[in-house]
Amino acid sequence: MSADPRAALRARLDEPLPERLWSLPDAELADLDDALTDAHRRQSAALDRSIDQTLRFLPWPLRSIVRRILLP
Amino acid sequence: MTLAGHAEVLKLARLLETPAERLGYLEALPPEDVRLLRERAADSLYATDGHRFHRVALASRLPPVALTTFIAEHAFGPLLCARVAGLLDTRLAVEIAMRLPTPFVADLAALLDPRRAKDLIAALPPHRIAEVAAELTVREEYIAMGRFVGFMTDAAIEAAFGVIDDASLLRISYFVEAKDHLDHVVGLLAEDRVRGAIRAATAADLWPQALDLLTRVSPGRAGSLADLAALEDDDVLDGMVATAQRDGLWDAVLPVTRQMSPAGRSRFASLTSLHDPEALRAIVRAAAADDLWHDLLPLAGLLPRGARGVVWSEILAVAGELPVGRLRTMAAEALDLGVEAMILDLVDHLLRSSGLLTRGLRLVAGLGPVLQERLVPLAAGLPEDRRAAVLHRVRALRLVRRLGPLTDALAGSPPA
Repeated sequence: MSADPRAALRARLDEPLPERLWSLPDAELADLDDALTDAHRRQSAALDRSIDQTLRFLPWPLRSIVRRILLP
Repeated sequence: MTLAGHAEVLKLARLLETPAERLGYLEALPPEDVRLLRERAADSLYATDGHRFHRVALASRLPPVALTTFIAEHAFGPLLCARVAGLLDTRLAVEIAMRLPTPFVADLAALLDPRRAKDLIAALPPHRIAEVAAELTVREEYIAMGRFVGFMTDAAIEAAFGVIDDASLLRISYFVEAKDHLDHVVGLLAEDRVRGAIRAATAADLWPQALDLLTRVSPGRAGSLADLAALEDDDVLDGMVATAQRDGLWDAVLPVTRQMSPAGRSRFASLTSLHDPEALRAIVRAAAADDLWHDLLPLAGLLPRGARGVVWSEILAVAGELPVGRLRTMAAEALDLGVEAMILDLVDHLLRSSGLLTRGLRLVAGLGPVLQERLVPLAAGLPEDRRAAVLHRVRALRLVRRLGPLTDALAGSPPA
């Protein structure tokens, strides 16, 4: 959990954000930040897995080209 | 908690893949705030790995379409496909979507941000959209479908209507985001489907969703829908009355009754369930809270005598609780609306109970000379026996002076 959930949310989410969001208690803002962090983590992990699997499916002549594009 | 607020929290929970109960605290915010928060959260998810999504989209052009489709299904998975779909060339994306198995496209659709795939959604053939809509309906993915409505062509919407049952249509309407578009979409529904959805509202306890829909379409459309509802049997409409009473939704129902045709409004006013004193008192309270007198009075005039009596008594009770300034405003509004046709009924009701007449006369005494002057023609137009009975009470209560010109009108004296 972030020590300053307001700052963490502002860093993660672009403006405009609803002004009334900041009226929520810190504990709820921290939970929202946690939920967002988890969603980001899950997405990045899924992306890593997908890219890894994709390369296995490609015929070898294409594999090196696609690898260069996906994994610079 | 509002219906719209709850729907928005459900959508955000879906985006973050977390239980809606966890985010229940967000229902304290207005729905538009939760929606803005969701859009920012979706933007951040797309932005975090944006460069990688772009690279995947670029690489997707290299293999033959059949291989890309195979990889999309067996390696990318629905989440990555959903993130990349809007970045692909639309023709390629359509070609892949046509080749992918329908259950996979349904998985993908549930995770897709339609704002980022507008061109793809618009370019998909209606029959393909219908296939996916059928799959999403079986899965009860109402949130996903509601989010897509604003981005679909009329032909695609009509094709989807063909595969979605009446109750599901109502459930989806609750999640439709494009409020301006919703009116148009409802207009695409055939009358028998609208009536089917109305019956489903009672059969499946979906009146909260149905009433929510009425608040989100134009007043004219809401009136037409309510007129169609008025063609249904009492038990169907009783479901609506029970829901409005249980969930405190009279503020949504009352404005719709004013948009109904005279025949529809009469039918609604004839409902026995509406004549329940508790329901009538709640209706009057809703009118007082939200200044809906111009909606209430036309309906009140159509109620049977006993039910009207309950309404008049409750209006007096509400008026008695108001500060003088607010009472005068309410009385002026009622006079502006033209209450001439109802005044005799009101007076007859008051004359049946000495307590009510006393309370009513004291309220009139507090209205002040300007409003009392406006009441003079109404008092003068009362039958002689009613004027005499009211005047008798005015004298007994020693209100002769405080009622000023009204006393003369009741006495039958010509105006000074």
